[in-house]
Amino acid sequence: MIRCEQLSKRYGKNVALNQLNLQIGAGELHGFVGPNGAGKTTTMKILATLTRPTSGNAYVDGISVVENPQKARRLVGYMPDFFGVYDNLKVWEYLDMYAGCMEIGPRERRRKMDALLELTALADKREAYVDALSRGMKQRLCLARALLHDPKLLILDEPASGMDPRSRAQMREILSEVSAMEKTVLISSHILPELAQMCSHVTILERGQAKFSGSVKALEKQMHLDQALTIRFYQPPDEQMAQALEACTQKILGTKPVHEQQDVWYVPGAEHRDRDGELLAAMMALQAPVCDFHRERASLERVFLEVTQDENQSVI
Amino acid sequence: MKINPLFESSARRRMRMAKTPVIITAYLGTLLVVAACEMAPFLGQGVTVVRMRLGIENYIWLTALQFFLILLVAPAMGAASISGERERQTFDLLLVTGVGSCRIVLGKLLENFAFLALLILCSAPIMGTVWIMGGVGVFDVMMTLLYLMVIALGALSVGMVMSVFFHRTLAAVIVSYLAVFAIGAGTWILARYGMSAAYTWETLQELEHAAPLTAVRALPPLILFNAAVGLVMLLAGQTGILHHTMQTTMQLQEIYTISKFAGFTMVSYVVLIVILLSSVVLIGLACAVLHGQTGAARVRRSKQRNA
Repeated sequence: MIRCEQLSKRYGKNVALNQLNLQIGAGELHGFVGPNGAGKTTTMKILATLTRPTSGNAYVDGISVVENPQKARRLVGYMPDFFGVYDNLKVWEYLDMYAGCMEIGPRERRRKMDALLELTALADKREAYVDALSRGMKQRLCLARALLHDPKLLILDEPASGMDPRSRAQMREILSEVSAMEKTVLISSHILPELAQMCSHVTILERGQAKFSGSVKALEKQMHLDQALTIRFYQPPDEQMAQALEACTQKILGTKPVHEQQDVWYVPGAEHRDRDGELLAAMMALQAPVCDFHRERASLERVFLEVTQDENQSVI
Repeated sequence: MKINPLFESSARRRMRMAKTPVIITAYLGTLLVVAACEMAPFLGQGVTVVRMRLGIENYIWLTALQFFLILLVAPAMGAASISGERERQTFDLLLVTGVGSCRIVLGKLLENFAFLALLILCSAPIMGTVWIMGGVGVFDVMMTLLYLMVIALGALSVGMVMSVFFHRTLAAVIVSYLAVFAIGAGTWILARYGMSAAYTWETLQELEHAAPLTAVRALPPLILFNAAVGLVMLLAGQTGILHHTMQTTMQLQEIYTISKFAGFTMVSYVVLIVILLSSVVLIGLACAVLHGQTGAARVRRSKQRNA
């Protein structure tokens, strides 16, 4: 559905995108993760035909957004991170105006508006003024606007930013429904656990380049964090104890533990999970102050921090 | 018939704004106060030739006041239209709908023009007070209102172009006012210097029996872009009492003389057409510039570069 080839964008001396290559398949709910300034919004704006790349090309369903933006716009629904609304305009009038701009006929317009207001839980706000809506409602209305022309690709830039937890949960539910409509959804967010819950695939951007792009499972596997072992101590072990514990962990599980904090270690990889008991027994024998010893699915946040903490020492 | 969605929604929003009835009331109230001050002392005293002239003078003052009010409001309205969308962060949302740049410009222009036309049409009953004393016909008043609408369109078009060029509303508004002032003062000053050098008394006399359009062609072309001159000519043609004013305040005997030969009304119609055509050109320019800013034209350039 999306193909970026050597996509670069410079703003003066600043490089926002640096020869980005990216492929996103049809029907994916794809998370776009990266620190501020990584190039997420720039990539999304290029795909939405609002910004032209300095070099390279991007395609949506085989149509170049650079050479044929008008045609590409019919395939893309875009929701920016910051957007304004018109004052003195009712919810249905707001949607009606954009539907008119998209040249959707009056009868079809009415049907679509009703369906989308229902989907975004705004049916009861039909006659409300747009500028009087809460932030969460405005975000949902903007999502409904982006879906008016039934696009194949939905680009959502930080759709949950500034929302309270309840509104975020509501937005997550709506996005799951949208994804079930066989649409490709590209979504960026800083709320990484939410992306991990929602997305089937993820791209991690840093300094305008993709550090990783693929399924969440592949990412976890590649990072050896699919079922990492977490060991927590009552108190940080002293140097001699720490060396002994590291040595026995290396010997039994074949992997050196990572010190997340002084009193929290985790051991990537789950190949030797059947020997966890043996490791725990060895640690007890060394009288290590262990208070917690368990395996858990790694959060995307931990993966994100791992990938972006230091470009040179990156695992990928 | 398909209505431009931007026109429809903008018109709706404007008529719901709290300030809209205030603007209409202030506009008409100003005209009404001027009309009342001029007319009140003479009402109930019977119609004489002298008082008939006072009615006509009142009509001229009201027209001039409307002219200045329109020039005060229209450039700012035009200038705020596109740049306002940018500042409100709604412009990107419009672009991704695939709506063409011409539809955006025309939608915004029509809505602004419709509001100004409403103001001008609402002033018709106040302008009609001239009929109490007589001296100006119904067609003349309608023609004046039409003239004011065309001036409003011209000033709006200047504002629209600036709104496309400048992304900040404040900058667009300031430059629009400067541009409108420059067109008014600039065409007058340039025409004045060009005219004085070009004509002698003998050459002017040759135009006395020439066809009206031949005489109009003898006028410096720049003066035909000056809405104020056109309006003065229109009122002179309608009322026949502005001749002395033209000779003294226009400070240009040649323009007065040639216009007299061509017919003041004829000159004003030509100015009307020139302003109308200039507005069309400016609107076209705004569409083209916006088109270039929003993608399609850049795509062509990019393809040419790649080729």
